[in-house]
Amino acid sequence: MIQQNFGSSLPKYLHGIYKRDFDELNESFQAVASEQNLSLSDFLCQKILSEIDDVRSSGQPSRDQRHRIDLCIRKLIQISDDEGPRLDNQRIVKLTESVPFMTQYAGRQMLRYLGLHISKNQKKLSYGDRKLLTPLLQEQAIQFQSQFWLHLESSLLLIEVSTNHLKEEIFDHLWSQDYSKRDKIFQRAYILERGKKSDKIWNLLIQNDILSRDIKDEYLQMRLVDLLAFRQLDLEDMLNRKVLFDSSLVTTIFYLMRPQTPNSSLSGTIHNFLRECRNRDLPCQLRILHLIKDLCQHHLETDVTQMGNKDFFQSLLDFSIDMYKTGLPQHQRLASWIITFVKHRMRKPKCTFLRDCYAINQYDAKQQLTEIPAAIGLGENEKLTLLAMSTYDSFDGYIVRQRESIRIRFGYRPKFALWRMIAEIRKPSANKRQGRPHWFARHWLGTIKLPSARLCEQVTTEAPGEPVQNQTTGDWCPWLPLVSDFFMSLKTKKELIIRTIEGTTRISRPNHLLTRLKAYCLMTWKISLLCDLRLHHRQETILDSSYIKFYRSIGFQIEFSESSFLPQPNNYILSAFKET
Amino acid sequence: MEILQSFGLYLTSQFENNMFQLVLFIIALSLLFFGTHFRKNRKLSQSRSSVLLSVGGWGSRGKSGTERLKAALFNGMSLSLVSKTSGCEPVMVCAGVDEPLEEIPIYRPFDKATIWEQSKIVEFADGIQVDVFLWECMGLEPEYVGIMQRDWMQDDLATITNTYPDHEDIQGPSGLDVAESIAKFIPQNSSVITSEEIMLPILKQRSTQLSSDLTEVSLMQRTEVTEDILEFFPYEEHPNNIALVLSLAEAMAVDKDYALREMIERVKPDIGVLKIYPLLHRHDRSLVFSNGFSANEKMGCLSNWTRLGLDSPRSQGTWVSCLVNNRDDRSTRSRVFAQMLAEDLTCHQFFVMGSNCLGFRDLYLKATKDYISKIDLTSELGRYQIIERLNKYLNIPHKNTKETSNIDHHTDSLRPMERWQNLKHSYQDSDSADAIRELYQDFLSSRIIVLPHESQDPLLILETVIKNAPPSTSIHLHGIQNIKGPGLRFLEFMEDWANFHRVSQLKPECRFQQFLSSHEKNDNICDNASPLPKANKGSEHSAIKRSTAIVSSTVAKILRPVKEISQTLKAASVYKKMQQGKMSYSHGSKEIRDIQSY
Repeated sequence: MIQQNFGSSLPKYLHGIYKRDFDELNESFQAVASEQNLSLSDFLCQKILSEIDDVRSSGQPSRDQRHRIDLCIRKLIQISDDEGPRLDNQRIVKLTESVPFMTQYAGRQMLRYLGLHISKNQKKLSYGDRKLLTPLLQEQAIQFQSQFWLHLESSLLLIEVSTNHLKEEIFDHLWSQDYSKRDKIFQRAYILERGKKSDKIWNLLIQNDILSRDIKDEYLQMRLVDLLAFRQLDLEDMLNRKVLFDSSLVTTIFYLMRPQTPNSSLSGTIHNFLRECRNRDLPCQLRILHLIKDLCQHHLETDVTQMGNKDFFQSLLDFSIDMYKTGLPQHQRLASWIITFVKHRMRKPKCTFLRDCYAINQYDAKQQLTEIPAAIGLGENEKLTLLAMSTYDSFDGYIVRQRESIRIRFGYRPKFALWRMIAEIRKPSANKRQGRPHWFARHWLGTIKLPSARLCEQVTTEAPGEPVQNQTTGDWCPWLPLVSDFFMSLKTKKELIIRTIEGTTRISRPNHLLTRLKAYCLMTWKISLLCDLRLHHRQETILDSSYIKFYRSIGFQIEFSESSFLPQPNNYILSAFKET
Repeated sequence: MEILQSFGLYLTSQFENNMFQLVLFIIALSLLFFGTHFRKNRKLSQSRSSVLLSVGGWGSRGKSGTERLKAALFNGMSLSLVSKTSGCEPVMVCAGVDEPLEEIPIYRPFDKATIWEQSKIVEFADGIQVDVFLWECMGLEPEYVGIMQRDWMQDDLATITNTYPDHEDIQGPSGLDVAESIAKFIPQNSSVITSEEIMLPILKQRSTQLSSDLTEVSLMQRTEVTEDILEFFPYEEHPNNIALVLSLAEAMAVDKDYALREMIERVKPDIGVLKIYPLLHRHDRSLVFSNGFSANEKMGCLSNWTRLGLDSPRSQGTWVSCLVNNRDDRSTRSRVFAQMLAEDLTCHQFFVMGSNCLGFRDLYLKATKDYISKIDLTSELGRYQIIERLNKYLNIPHKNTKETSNIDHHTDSLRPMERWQNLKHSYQDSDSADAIRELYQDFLSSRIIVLPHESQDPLLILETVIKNAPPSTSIHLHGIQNIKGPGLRFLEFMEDWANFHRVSQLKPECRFQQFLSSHEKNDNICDNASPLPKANKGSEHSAIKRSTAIVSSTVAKILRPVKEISQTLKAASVYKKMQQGKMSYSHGSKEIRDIQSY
């Protein structure tokens, strides 16, 4: 979710372009470099320069030459963080001189590498070195005037190489240059980005008081937060100045809750930022709730013990409860998840049951039946609620057995349903997919359902009875049974249970056979009406209880009981189950 | 002569062949058929193996926009590329190293799409030795998509924008089935990036089965596409599409500032993108047109409606109209849009153009009846909600109050205003339910204006829209449903206007008038240059002309295959010249367009 899966030294799909040379680099170049008593970076630079010499003589680089140069530069950048020895001056000068013979992107990457390399090896740059490089870079900065990135990179490299006076002059020129609004934003954003890795740029930003200015561009402000967080500075200053955009607030919370952030900075700061969130508009609050949920989930999937201390969790809990108490269905939905997670975490910090649930690979269709070890020390209620949390964002789960271990089936099994067939016969249409059965409905795989809150349709389709997204809550109201759930209930004597984070819904079928038969006929006949009625709103935030009333009138017993984790009744849910 | 005679006898006789000869014939035909396919597949396989990096893209919505952004990104990385994409028409977006992107139309004989087109384009890409081949999956049938991905392309990387329920007749019936169909695009042992949220578990499951990595676009990546960045794009691009391509850039170790700026700088937008055209002034009103023709399903249309702020409370003197471009061969879509216009899109009026406009009108009137019959007016709250809705439609405060009395007589849709004025204070009374229902029905029914075929010229459309709005109002005209046909003509007209507006030095109020004068002048020049005789009004020989037209169209239909073959060969020769470097992309594009328009 947050981490990328492409952690290799070269993204693997670029192997397609660089396949031959990359393999060659990894295996034989290292050996060749050792034979010649060169470091790998020196060897790569030598290779680049020899390719450039060929390009100079031929005029235009061939495809292979371009790829080899690109690859060597990528490899240089990749090893630059690890490699100790620096390049010698002559090499730096030659590489700088070779930039005009490269493609635009390669040239830019080369200048970037040189800038970062020199920044890292600052103390080893002598007066003689600077005297050699400065005029060359000045000339190139002018030469590249019309090429945005090459001009920017050569100017930043000039800053790294230059003395105090000149570097300030260049910085002033860069920061206040008369670019279009668009290019100015990108230029400044990139300079802020470079402030992370270059102390010189960072010092210039401080000297020019950039970091304490009120930045009016949303994108730039986000980059500023990014930089301050990277440098582990106090972000609260921005809060005190009350200049944060919504996106910057989201970014700040992201940085404060990231796994890499030291725990010590969490407790007080996050509390203050969450307090600020309460003053923001609804879309911003929703984004922050989403972010908090995602980050909690990420921590859960990696290592929940590293997440934060007690004060940190208390801050999250207080915020979530406040959001829950707004009474807005979307807020309540997300806040329910966070409250359940945090309360469980605070009560049982060492319990790994929830993490075990998340660790199950629910996406392997072959592994439909899964066993989870018994949850020692957890009550029945808590256990089922945590299981409901684990299926929240994946497939439905059905509890088949609960003894020493819990057996769950994931996914769904479509089975022939007479009611679907009758619905199809009543509403034939040439617009329906041909050669595909329309007579199948989802069948329960156990008697306790742990529905996914995520999987649903965004608009109604020609298949009746499917979960459809409710715009008010953002999910499909999994706590409200589907029409197919009632049909399922008719087939079994047992009470069917739907377990969600919000609570438990229980369905029992009518007692007498004739009543059941009558119910089946009525449900089949009124299928379209019932599907429409399921998410019908009386008012914007109140669901119509006609749906449940209909089923009660034909003999079903339906009850909803709220989760004990939640601080107060959820009126939106209760309105659907209202008796009168 | 004897040989000819004997051959003639052979041809016309039923008994000249024996069983052995028949078997030989069947074998020869089978060899020809399978041999051709074997040869094509082999050639495709060879071309594909020469293409170094193949990146595919699919999804219900936003795939063309995403492909164009991807092309801009790779162009910014100084890589040569060919991108097969669509939009209004199928095109290849091509570029050499550090060269700007060029669009080359894809010539389709008989205007028919076939998956074999993919093989031709891959061969073309191989011929020009590109670094990267990007392709948008234009198929709908999951089986064909499976063939293209797993048998032919085997992408190194793929993107899936989203899995909104669309084309349910081919991929459905339910939303889950649509997601499963789209999941068939995931390649084996590869990497996939997606911005889909709701049906993500299905994509994850499929990628696990195929040993591929799936990466979803995170909330933070979406957050990074801020409002001020969106403004820099030359059209209204969806932030999710940008976030998806940014995720791709990040995975390729390209920093986001670089990626964003290059996308903005280099992207070659399709004419059908969501775009707002410059304001024009005419007949004491101003009009701004926004193009939403390409969003041809409900979610996309509603998303555009919201993004343009058309569902928000309106400022003083704002009048919202829709221009519906209907197609007679898209009846399901027409039904969906008719229902949307009745229930969701709160415009003051809408104008229907294209084909089968009367059919669309019937669908709309039926949709309004169904919708109104479902509304609950028994409660005071229900009645209040309808009155508020009517308030949104009918309450058009005007800058000049003296104009108000003119409006009732001016526009039919505003005549219910008097009735509404009376009813809005008496909604508490339960007896007013019927009157409110009737008012709402009348209002909804009067919103639709069908444009006859002869009035579907772009300028006439604008004139009709403007004259049907109250004076001194700011009109926002939003185009919806389909792009082909009069929609494309209208867009071309607006593009001309946008280009004129960009360079004009005149005051804004006078620019459109000047544009019209120059536009008419050009039309007159074209008419004068035309070799065809002008229509003679009131001709005595109209019957002869009609029959001549019938004969010539019949002959044209018979000769069409010959014409298509010759055009196909011409187009192939143009593509070959571009491959060999004997013709530039821009020149080749022009040649193909000339062949298409012939």
